[in-house]
Amino acid sequence: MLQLKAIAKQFAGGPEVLSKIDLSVDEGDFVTFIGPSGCGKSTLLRLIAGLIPPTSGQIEFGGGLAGEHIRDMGFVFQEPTLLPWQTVAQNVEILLKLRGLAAAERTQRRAAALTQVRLAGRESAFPRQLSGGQKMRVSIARALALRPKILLMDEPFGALDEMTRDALNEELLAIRAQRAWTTFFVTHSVTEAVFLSNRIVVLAPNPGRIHATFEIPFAYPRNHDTRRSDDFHHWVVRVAEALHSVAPKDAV
Amino acid sequence: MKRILLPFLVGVVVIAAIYGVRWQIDIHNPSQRFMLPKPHEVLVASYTHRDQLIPATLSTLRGTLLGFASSVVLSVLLAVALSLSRSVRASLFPYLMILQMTPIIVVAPILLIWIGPGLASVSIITFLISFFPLVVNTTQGLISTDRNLVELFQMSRATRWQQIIYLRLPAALPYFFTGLRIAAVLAPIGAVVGDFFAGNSGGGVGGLGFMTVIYSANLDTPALFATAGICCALGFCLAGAVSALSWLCLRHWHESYAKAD
Repeated sequence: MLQLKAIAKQFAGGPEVLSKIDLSVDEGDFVTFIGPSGCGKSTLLRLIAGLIPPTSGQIEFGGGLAGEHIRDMGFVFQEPTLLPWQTVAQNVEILLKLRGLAAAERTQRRAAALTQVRLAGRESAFPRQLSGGQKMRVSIARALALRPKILLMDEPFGALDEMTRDALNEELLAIRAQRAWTTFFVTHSVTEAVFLSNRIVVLAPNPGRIHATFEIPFAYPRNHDTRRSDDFHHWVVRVAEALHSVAPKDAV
Repeated sequence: MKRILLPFLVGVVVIAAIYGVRWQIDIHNPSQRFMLPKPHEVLVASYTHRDQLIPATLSTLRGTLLGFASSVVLSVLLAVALSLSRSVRASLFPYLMILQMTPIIVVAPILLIWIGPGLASVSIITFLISFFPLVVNTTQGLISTDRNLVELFQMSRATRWQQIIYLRLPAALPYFFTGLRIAAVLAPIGAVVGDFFAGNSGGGVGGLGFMTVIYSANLDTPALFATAGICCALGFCLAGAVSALSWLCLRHWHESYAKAD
């Protein structure tokens, strides 16, 4: 279990970015933050990651998420964020290397992670030789190799075309079915949010605060048929309306 | 074919032009013909002066390599220190600027008084000339690392040292090589200038800069041109070696070596 208690964040000299965020998340939840620019989605992710401290409030990790696992959070950025001078294999292993894992363990985890993202056989390629979708897969494999309990994803598929994005969405859920980590996901796409999450948190901007929370009832595994159901569209419309009501009036 | 033919033709035209100019001097002003030696006279001069030029070249080469190598090592160490914080940069950069802005012809006599002529002085002058572009470029590279990659390393609780070794230094390589290319061209110039002021004539032979002093006193233009040619050759060799090293290190990943598709 993970609890955000009255989290607020203000950068030195700037306006308040986040204000009184209260959220309780169960183990295995797929939580998506969605909201207009300036609602502090990315900041919230960085707070959970421990990259920046909150100005006030507390983040509590409980149950299976407490202790050592905090260190093993996986983070997937909007860009693939790979080391261009290293091969796919080295990129997937780099975080394990930083943690001082033995070579045999690293190789085994790397092989498993690359198989999961269907990139086995591309170990010796350099990032430059890969397509945008493949680079993102390497980036996900790097996070998976950590065997994380918590996976943080900051608009990971935002730069990809819709076909690739849909395919990766399904792959992500398939991998998640094997290892039910807790996910915090940021996106601008309502469809993506509804498809992936069991909880959607709509944030309002200036300062960032929780506007509405939705529980998406579809059972996992979800697939292409899920997207075509009437229920799915119903949820997309509901979330989109909530999002629309918090969008700044002068934004369009 | 075109790639070989055109440079070759340009070379032929340039050499022919030199003979043409010299031919005109011979006709109109024969007393001044010593000013521009014919290209083959330069080749002959570099052969007849070989007993001076070969040891001189080796001496200059020693100064070049010693000064260049020490500037590489020290500049990387200093760049790492400079990359650590803005305040370190603010407090050290002015001295770097002073070092760079003081003309070498002013520094050289001071060094000569402090440590006397010889290899040490020549190397230090070479070092001073090639140091600046290396430090500036490498520092810029070290502080230009992708923000997300830095966050990734921080999330993994990477130590500062790991961050430098696995992230900042490799990311700075392209910048380092830009500095290295400039330094490679400057280093032989530094050694020759250093030699001009501080070449050791004690053993009978100085470096190329010292030979220049003698040949100019004798108005031996063919030998002066031969010396100039050797200086250029040194620069080409060093710059070529740096290009090769840069290719080896960056070809797999850096955009500058990407094949146009």
